[in-house]
Amino acid sequence: MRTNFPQRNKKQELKRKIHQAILVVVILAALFFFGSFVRGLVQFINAPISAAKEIITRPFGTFFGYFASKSELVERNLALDGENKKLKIELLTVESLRRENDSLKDLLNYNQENPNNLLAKVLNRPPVSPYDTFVIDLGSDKVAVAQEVFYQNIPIGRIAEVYSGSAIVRIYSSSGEKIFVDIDEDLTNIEALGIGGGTFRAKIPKDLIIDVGAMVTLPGGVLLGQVEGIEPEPSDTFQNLYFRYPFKLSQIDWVTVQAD
Amino acid sequence: MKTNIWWRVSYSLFIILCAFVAPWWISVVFSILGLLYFEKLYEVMVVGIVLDSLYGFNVEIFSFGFIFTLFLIIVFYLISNLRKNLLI
Repeated sequence: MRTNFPQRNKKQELKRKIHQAILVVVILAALFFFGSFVRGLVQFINAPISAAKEIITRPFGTFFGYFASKSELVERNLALDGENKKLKIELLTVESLRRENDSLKDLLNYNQENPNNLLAKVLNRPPVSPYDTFVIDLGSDKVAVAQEVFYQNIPIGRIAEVYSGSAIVRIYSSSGEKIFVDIDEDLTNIEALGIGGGTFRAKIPKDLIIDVGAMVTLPGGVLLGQVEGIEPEPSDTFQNLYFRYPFKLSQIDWVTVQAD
Repeated sequence: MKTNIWWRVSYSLFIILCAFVAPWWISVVFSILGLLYFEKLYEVMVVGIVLDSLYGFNVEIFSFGFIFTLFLIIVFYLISNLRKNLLI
């Protein structure tokens, strides 16, 4: 017995596919033309959700700390003890340098802290955000695109987009971002490429000898990190140096935005 | 496969909320799992739009910055066809 069902199904299938294609084209076109409105709307919704998340998750952060294993804590304590001794020695050097730095600043009448700098709360940070970006709670009425953002006086990025109540900060370690750094005072103005996760990669000639632990600073002298890994490129005359910020991006709660 | 509408609505709300509060990859993974379980889970496109609106300015293709949305639409079609071929 012959039946027309398969043909009808094919027609229905084709119709359904056309409907789906139209839906996708409409969505993509709407995003293309009204993208900034959609982004603004999502940012507007994000602010209260992030605030609620902060209130709800904060008590659990300390609560789960009680469940850390005892041996792990002992191990960590020993490591911290060793680090503490090392830091005490380093602190002595830092103290004398700080005094010298202060007296030099007095001589030059230099004021580092700008009282007009704005304090901003971080609403979303890595690893929640995918491309080393922060969402901060300052909107277009207070900040503008390209303003520099600091954490503990270390420049960490620039404002990339602003909305009515929030702004997106692109971290310098964001993939593809480039900054210039000095390594161990010997190598100056080396281009470092952000590779995500708060990490940078700098390419230098193989014949230059740099050790793991070498200091990486910004041209102004601000510490950016220490060289944590060196990887020679077998087929090239260069070697890759890897370094990262001296803090975890996931632990940053507050940042300052440089005033105009 | 017929699924309870409330289960679908709850799951959709869950993945959309994940896009706001959880690491980005969690919402992507749950979106893909949702696409495998539910028939035509259009809500994953909302997840893409939320992720792109919150963070997705970094990569642009022909000045179109909604890369997660594009990715999830492609995954949506791939999994829809996969489901059909597997007769789920």
